[in-house]
Amino acid sequence: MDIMKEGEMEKIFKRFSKQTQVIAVAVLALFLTGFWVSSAFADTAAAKTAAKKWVDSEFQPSSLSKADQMKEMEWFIEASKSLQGVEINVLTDGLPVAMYESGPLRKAFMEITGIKVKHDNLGEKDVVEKIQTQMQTDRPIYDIYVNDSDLIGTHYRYGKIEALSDFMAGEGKDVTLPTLDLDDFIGISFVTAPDGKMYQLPDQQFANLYWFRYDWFNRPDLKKRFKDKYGYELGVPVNWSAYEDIANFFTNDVKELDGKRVYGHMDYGKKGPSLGWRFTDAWLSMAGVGSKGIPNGLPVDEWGIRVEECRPVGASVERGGAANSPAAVYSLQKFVDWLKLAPPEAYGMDFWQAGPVPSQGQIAQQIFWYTAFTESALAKGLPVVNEDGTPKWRMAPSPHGPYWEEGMKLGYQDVGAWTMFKHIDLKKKKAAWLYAQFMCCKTVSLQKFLKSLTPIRESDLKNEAVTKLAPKVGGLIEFYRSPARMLWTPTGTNVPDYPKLAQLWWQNVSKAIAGEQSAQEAMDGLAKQMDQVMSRLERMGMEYCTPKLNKKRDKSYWLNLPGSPKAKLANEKPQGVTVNYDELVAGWKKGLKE
Amino acid sequence: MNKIQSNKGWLLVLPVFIVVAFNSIIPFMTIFNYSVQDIFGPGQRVFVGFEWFEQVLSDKDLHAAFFRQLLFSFCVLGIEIPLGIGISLLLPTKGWSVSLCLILLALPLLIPWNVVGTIWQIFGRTDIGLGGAALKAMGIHYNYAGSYIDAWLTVLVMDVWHWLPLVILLCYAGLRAIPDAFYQAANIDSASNWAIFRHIQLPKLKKVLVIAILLRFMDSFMIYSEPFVLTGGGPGSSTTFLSQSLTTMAIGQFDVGPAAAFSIIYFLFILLICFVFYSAFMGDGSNES
Repeated sequence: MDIMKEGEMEKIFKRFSKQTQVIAVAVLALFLTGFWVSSAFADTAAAKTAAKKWVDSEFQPSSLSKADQMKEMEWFIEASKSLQGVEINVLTDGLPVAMYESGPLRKAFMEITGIKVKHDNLGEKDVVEKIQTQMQTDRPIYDIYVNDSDLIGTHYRYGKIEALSDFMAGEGKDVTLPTLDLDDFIGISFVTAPDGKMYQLPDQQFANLYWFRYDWFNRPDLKKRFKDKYGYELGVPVNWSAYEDIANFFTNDVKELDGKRVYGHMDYGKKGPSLGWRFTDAWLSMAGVGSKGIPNGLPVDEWGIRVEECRPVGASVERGGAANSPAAVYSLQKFVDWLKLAPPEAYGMDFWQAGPVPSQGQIAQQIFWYTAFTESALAKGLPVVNEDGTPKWRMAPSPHGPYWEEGMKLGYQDVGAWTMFKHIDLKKKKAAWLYAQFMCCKTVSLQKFLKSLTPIRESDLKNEAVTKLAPKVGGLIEFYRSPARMLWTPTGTNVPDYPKLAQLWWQNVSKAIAGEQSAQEAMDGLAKQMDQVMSRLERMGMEYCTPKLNKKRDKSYWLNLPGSPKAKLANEKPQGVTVNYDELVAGWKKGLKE
Repeated sequence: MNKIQSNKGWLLVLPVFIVVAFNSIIPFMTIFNYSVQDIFGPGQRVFVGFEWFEQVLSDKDLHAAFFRQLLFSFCVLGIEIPLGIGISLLLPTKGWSVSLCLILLALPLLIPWNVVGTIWQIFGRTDIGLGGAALKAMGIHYNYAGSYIDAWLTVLVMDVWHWLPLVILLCYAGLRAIPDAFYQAANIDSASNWAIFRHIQLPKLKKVLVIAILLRFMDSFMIYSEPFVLTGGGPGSSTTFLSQSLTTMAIGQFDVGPAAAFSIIYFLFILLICFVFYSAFMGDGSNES
């Protein structure tokens, strides 16, 4: 060693040191890669185990086989790999279906995908407020919402909501479930704008139907009394005349059954936003206010708003709309008249307070009953439920008013649908889109339907499990499987700004309920205010299909033209018509088999 | 000798100015900015000048709400002030019963406004409410959701129930602050109870009463939660007060521009009333001196 020069020693050391360093780095890289790969495998394996656990324990029954369910879950695991640890904020309403989603389904999604989800449940009114605030500020509050498809006309025109058709074909292609099967959804037409694009994804649906006490309607003594007085059978009313006769019969003639005061009608009249839903949820369409057309009347819809080539041109009759047309006035007048046939407390009730009242056993029929209350009306121990758990009540298609014609919609269907803003960060948008699809995929949708009774898929409705459920849910399944379902639709694309326009309804309608104004004055006020809002939108200009108000003309000009707005009928109370419920259902079943 | 001018003193005012700016001036300017625009969102706004002011000032519904509000405030003052004085005179002045009475009286004040509305909403129902059912049993046709008079009376009684204790407590404190010497002098003169009240208690309560009247006027003029929960402003518009109209406009319809114009007018009116009260009070004070 001593013969070596000092410099050579240093060189050897340096070379040795360099080699060592390279080897050390390589070993470390290999180790880290191995660790990453193994942990990724471990993560995937854990996700698969979680998926299997959920498929076996919670997501049964399903319209898919277990193997296909696992394939769908494996796709979610793969698609979410680049989104591990992303956190999203979700807002939905507080219906049972939303609670099921924010509970077990959210947990399952997080375990399977590794995406973190904060899912809030608020009232529908608060959801709309948050959406409106996010629209007005362009700042994210939530990454995705379940928002009623009633806002489709608003979302489309303001241009702030992601067009899901574009997203699925573009930047969200890698996170769009191949087995989403949009054709299987029963409400896709409700979330499609005039440009043909889908803006929202249906998450849950329920309808407003006619509800009645099947047991009372089959009592021979009551049937005889009714026929003696009115000359036709007590049954499911086909028109409003029959509904009115039956309401009068129970409230003023029968009065008491089994020692209890009974009423032939139930509704609510408290001044507030929920009173507006009672009207904007297609009450006017039931009277026959709009034009023919499914899902919504064209050119005039059930809000009385006329459009020309997708541009709203007016709500008042003077501008070609129908919000203050004779049919609209008639619909409000009937609401006011019939509220007198309901329990006196109904005047002070809102949507939430009135909803459970029929289940308490004093109501014979209700023309406007949300099927979202089905589950709560089936609770054991209620006066409207038999010992064996089957209901004493049934639901059926709602009767129509004298202005209604074949080819028009006949009622309201609520479609809560996933809605995303354009301004959300892409990563969060992708994670949110995965969450929305998870809530609606075939693996979970049937179980969600059975828990909440709010269907979204045709494949679920056809399932054997649903057939077994049918006798226990009072006609819900029969309705959704029937062709009649097509006539129950949400608010359509004619409404350019739902939050602003919807507020006008309850403020005007409440004046007629209290007798402060006549029905005509209240609807005139409403039509005028709707025109004012649309003129402001015209002044501001919207992204698409901006309103452009027609010039005012004499009412008679529009009323003499065919279609809506319709001239006043000489007789608004034609002969009452009823149908036997069992025969109605048998007819549907026969029609379906054919 | 010339006085040296120094502006450094202004610096001492700066913190107050900053607080007031953030607390009042900036929000007020923001509201004014909104009030001259029609706003739908960022980049979606139109300058409209004083259109919203004209609209608010010519709106018949708002005129009706304004007069309804005034009437309500005067009814509230007309009931609560005399009743508050009367009850405070009847309260015990010594012993454990003082604490008991004060605690019991203060209870309604501790209940949140919207809870008060809910309590009365249920209490007044003829099917499940104690008050409503009792009236029904007595053969009185009562329905606060369907009758204007019933709705008005219920809102008024609810407000009295909720806020009368405040007036009582203020008056009671005022009465307790009167020195015994006044009463002793009155006894020597064999003054009657009415004379004591008229010449000693009422004059000594004057300042307390001004505070009570101001507080109750401002609160009742801005009432929102209780009638909103109880009647929703109905039946019809019978219990729709200004605050509810404003809330519907601002939060319900998201009409920020018209709501801002309405807010400014509403604010100016309350300012005017308070100024009148304040001037009357100060004027009275200067005469005394």
